[in-house]
Amino acid sequence: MSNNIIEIKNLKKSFGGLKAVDIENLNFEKNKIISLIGPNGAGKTTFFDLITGFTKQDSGNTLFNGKNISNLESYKISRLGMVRTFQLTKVFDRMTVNENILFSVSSLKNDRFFSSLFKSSLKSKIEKELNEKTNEVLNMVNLYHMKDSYARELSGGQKKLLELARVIIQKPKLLLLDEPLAGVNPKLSEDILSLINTFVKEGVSVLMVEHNISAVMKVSDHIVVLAEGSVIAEGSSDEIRTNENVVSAYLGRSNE
Amino acid sequence: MKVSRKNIIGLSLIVFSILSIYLLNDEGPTRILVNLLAFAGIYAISAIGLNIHFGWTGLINFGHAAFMGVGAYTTILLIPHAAGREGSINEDGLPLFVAIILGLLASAIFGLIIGLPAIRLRGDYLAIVTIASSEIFRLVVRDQEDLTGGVYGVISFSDVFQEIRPKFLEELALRLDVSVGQLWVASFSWIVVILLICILKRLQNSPWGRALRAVREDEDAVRALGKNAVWLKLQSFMLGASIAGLSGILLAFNYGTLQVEMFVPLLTFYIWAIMILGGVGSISGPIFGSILFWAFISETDQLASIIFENADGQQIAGVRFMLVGVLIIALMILRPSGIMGKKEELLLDVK
Repeated sequence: MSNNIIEIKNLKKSFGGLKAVDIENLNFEKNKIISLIGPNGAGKTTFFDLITGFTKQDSGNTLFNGKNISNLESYKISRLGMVRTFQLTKVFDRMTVNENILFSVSSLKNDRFFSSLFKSSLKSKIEKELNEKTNEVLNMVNLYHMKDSYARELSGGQKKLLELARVIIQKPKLLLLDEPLAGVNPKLSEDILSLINTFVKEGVSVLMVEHNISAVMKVSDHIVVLAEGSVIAEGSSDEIRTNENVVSAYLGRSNE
Repeated sequence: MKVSRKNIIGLSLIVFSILSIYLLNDEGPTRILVNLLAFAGIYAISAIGLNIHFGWTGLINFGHAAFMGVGAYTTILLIPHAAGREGSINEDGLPLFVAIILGLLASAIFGLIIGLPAIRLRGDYLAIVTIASSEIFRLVVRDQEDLTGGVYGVISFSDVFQEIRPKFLEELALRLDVSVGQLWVASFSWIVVILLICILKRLQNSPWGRALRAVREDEDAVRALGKNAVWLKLQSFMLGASIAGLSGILLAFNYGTLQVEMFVPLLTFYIWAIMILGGVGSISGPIFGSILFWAFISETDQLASIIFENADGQQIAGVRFMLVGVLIIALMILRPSGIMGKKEELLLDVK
């Protein structure tokens, strides 16, 4: 068994005449923080949509943990353990913070109509256990005091934390974070980064899209640079910082 | 039930509606009240179904009348009835409760059939598909005269329903000077309303209800968390449809006849008005909304004839709907989340 959580071969997607993503070969190692950077419109979010099944690819193969997920529906991919967040935070606004997370952690069996209709003592025991798990995660992201507030009352940063809590409670194998630091203040950014580090220590692999370059350079084990839908460079932060292509396409020159 | 501001408002509106019947009608106010309660109960059941679609799951269903119609036609055609121009009575049929259950199933299956291709559509597009399906249903029923009686409708089916009414109602009806048939329909409907409310109270805060609300809030996030949003929406569609079917069946028993014109789109919009008045997403909202709506409808013509003494019937009918409109607008400005709705879960932002 290979040590890669994701293996991509010839992944292609065009919108009309525009080639959005065209990746020949790309592998992500397990249990690492991998960052995806690149200019706006480079196809980073489309790439996320493709591998999570939110957008249908034109051609190509994606293996997740050795299993081909190329044409699976998004919710089935998520059930395999690849869970994503969104660039524009998607919390359930008119539900409480607690319910947001309970929904995520509740099993499919627990969600069933008939099991919900006939309340049993087993059922309330399950819900109690779920509540305990939820409290644990809420404490971890520092939102316990907001437990019973409606999610729409949270600040932008708190919504990001809620989204993180909601995905991490599922104990995913691979976490895809779409701009986890966008619009977040420096202090909270640090908190989020240290949370991400904790996840990785617990055995989660993380793939993130992020524009905050100093943060990316600091935490990433591996960086992939996309431009116009293709990979133009990949490597450690030092390799990326000195790569001529990357500097001209994305980072820009500061000393000229 | 906790006594809160909205409960006081709701209850006082209902007391006011009932009082207005006694104040505005000199002859047989109790008869009018029973008639109102029968319709209010039946429409409340339908609004409860619609609330599952829109209030819980966020599905914009403009074809609710068809779900009511499918339930009604299936059940009524399965029990002894007389259909069509000739009107010969078809004596054999299934027992009433078996027919009702089959009617509910038929509504749910109709919901599934419409839902399967349409439910992936978002918002307004689903609205267009559902309103079109409901018109298709109505036109097909009108066309299939051999089976459904077409424009001539179905009659002589009420006996099986009236046979099961408890004996004490007859004495009560005599004492109150009201029609015993309608008293039974009204009582039966309100028993159903109470049962439904008990069931839905349990469902709303269950994991299933929570999942539906999550779908209402953000379908993409639901899918990203590994839940099958389409299946959840279909389940919601089927449950709401069969509740609507039940109200359609009772509507037929209340009229004593089944006419295809009962299921015009206007019926759907009455149900929407009731749901919005009562409070979108609230469980007890449809009860309050329905009683208030029917009090509006039945008392505004009395009111109009008092205000405009010299107006004829046709003019009063026009004024009546203007008054209904004004009252609904006033209520929506004063309480945008409806009588029983939660402000935090306001779904229709009128501002």
